[in-house]
Amino acid sequence: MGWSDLPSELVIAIAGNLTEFTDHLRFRSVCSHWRSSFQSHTLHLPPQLPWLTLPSTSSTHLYSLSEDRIYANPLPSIADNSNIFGSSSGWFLSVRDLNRHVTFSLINPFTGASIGLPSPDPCSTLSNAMADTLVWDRSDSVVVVASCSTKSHLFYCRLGEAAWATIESQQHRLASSITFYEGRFYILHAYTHEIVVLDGETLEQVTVIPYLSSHVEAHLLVSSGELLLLVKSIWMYIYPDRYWKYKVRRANLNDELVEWIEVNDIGDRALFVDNFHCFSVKVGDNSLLRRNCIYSARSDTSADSRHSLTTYSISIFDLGNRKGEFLKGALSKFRAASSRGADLPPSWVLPSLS
Amino acid sequence: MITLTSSDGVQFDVREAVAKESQIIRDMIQDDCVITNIPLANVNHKILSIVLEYCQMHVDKTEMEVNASKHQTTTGEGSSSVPVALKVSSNKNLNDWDKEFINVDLDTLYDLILAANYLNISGLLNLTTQAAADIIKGKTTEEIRATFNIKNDFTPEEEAAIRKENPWAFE
Repeated sequence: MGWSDLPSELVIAIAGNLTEFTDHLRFRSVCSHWRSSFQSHTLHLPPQLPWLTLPSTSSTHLYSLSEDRIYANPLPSIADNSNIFGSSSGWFLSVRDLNRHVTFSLINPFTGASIGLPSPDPCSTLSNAMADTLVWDRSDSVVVVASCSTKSHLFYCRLGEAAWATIESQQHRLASSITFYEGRFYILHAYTHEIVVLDGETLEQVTVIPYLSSHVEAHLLVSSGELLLLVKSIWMYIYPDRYWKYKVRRANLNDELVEWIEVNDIGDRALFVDNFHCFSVKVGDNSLLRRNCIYSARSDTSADSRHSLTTYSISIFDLGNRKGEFLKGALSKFRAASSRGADLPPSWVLPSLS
Repeated sequence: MITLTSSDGVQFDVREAVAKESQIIRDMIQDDCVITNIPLANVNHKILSIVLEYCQMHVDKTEMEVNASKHQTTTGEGSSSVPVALKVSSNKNLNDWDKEFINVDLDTLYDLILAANYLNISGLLNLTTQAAADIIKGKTTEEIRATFNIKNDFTPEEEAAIRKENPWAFE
């Protein structure tokens, strides 16, 4: 008798104390008895912490915040010349640009699942969109993508259908973030200072919410019935080696007249922000996360004529005392030789097994 | 007093409260209140003595807390801060004690998991399975096999199929 003969219910009891998804994957792969113990068992994991994509490398890496560990080649289904964009739903949008022929797909690196998406019409601006400026999110049935570099267009695609369709807008709006929340898409247009709300099924415009801002870089987040507007201090561009400072404004989603109020306490939440999107994560009792903080990720590339080297950093900004610091650990030591011309910034992804 | 007899014939005399930490013994005593000798066919004396050490400690700590709260009700409002502090420190001590207690070799841990399951002692089962999980955390599949002395019994085809799902997790 030994560990490989442990009764199945005890194998599951041990696994029940593993909180990391990656630990589960490795645990199940030890021997056939341990693996078969899970066959009629649904995995219930506590909420996972976000992961960061490190795409500006010759092969994509993923950084696990909770394990403080970098995984190489996490996405075998992603071909070369692909850019990936994270989301809070566990899925990546993968965009492959091969000789100006652009293909899209959805990939969940945590389950290995992938969903093909139609190729855009070669005449469409989506096919000419710079792959490093896309923002996106998805509902159960619809994927919405916007390009920040082309004019005014939002593209959507129903899963299983053969073509992309365009949402025409009357003004020349450039979307800078898209969030799906409770059946609706929230699209932030940074230059017109508006948030356009679309029905997730019909894609009809539900409402437009204006906001006042002198800041160009703003992110939108919808969480617990609230709109949170995250604005980055523009002065920090002068100090590139310093952490980003943010201000947060809150509005109640159910109010008829949306009134923005600046807040310095967002409760037991942490916000994750990158160039493309922003989402919130509940800070649990034993979590490694700091409450009321903003985790922002960025990359810096230094290049000479032959080589370019990319470093990544995560800064943690406390809204309460308005102080920040850089996360230490595996990521701060990581150097990636970049083989591509244009570097794609890192993006957060919240793991999901569904 | 209740007498528990291990699979290798060693007798342990313990207080009823200590024996009743085991759900299965609790049920037996409830069904047959004159029972005084319980043979335990699946637990040898070495493991049973460790299990009983755990039960003894947890019963003692619980009784201490009950006494402390009795003390609170008899002495009235004024001294209520004392028992609360006592309770907090005794919980902390018990967690520290558990941590020290479960620092055993893997063969013993394995036997303790089986014994905790057989005797249905939920606290001990949680403690032992958590200890096993803590050893597994952060290890590669190969390291887990080496640690627990488990043979990789997958066929090369099965192994390839498993790795194909999430190859990055198996670095």
